[in-house]
Amino acid sequence: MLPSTTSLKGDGPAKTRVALAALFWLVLWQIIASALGQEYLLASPLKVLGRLGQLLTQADTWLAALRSGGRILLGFSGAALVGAALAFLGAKYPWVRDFAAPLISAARSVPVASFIILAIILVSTRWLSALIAFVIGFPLIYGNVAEGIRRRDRGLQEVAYVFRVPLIKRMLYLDLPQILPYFKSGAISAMGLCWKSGIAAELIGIPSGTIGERLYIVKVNLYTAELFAWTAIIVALSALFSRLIALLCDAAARGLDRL
Amino acid sequence: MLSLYKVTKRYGPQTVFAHFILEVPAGARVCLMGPSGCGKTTALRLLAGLEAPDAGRVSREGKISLVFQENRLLPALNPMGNLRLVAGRGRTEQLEDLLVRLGLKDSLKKPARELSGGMRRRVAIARALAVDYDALLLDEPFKGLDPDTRYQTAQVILKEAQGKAILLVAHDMAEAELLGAEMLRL
Repeated sequence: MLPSTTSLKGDGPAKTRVALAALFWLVLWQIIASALGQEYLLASPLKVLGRLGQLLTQADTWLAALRSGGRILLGFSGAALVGAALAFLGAKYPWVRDFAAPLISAARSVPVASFIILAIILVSTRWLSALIAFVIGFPLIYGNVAEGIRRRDRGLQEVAYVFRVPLIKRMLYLDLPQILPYFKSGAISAMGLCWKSGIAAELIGIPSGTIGERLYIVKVNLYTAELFAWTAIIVALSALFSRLIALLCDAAARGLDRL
Repeated sequence: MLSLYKVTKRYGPQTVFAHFILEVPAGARVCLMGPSGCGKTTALRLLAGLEAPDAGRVSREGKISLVFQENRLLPALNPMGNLRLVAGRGRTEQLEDLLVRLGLKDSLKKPARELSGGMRRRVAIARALAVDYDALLLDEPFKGLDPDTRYQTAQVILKEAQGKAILLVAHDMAEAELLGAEMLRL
């Protein structure tokens, strides 16, 4: 109770402080950019804002965002489905967990760049970002869901056993409400990482008409203002998708609560 | 018929009981009494299939129902929701009547999290009585109930579990007497 009360009281001033800090860094950025006077080294925030405005009015920008976003979302969805399913199977059958362990371990430790290069060799660059989003998101979601399953209330599991609660009821009333917060947390983290790694994959594989391709052009031509503008778009899209995931999970939790 | 035959149960280096024999014939009422940690709850858990013995044989004929030492209710569900979770579809009037007889008439629509400790205890008892069973295991069922409510609750249990085996764990002899159970000291 105490932390939330403290946070409520301090919420307004904290927001003001963050806004003032952001303003400070923007002003500093503007000063440094003006002092350097070299747009290709460091574009000013005003220049970036102008370029961002231009990009947002171009159909190509939205198409690139749609292509990249669609593929990343596809990879993320696959990761969510396979990760969650494998976590449930692993909890039921220990041999599945042991069988998957080296795969999860490899997905967690192998550098993203190695996966990207391997994927370029093995699959078409068109689906590169989907594949990389899957590889990066899958172990995170698997780990979180597996943790949620492990941390279920043992007392309620015993209730289900003693009273022979059918599987569907057990899932809807006992298991999912307890596991959902873990899935939500994993999915939000995974979504952010899927965007980062998916765009990095596109930058290396350069599939046509994607954000990665636009970033490649920016890199070759040193369009710093456009680099910052695209970065803002990527961050905004990633935040939007993460927020959508959170809203979906909250709606599912409310639905389970109302059953 | 419930029985533990020469059962030994250990938790790590601690032996809870060794070569323990217990028989509860169909329709009998038995109360296990004894100091804390002597294995009363463990005996119930073995009979409910929640624990495995280290040695000896556990046997039970028919279905078991259990009032756990803790209530273990779903906090978001109301009393009826908690009963429905284990009792299945239909029998609405019968289940509602059970809750009313346990003194929960005014709390039927409240989520379990909003009920008092005593009310939650009675919902846990109602849940155990709501299912189909041949033997009823009760782990300190009257914990947190005042004397009047204890009596009223015991009457409901006796009516609902008529002809069925009852194995009760209690610290207080009066609780065993309320259910007319034969006392067995561990």
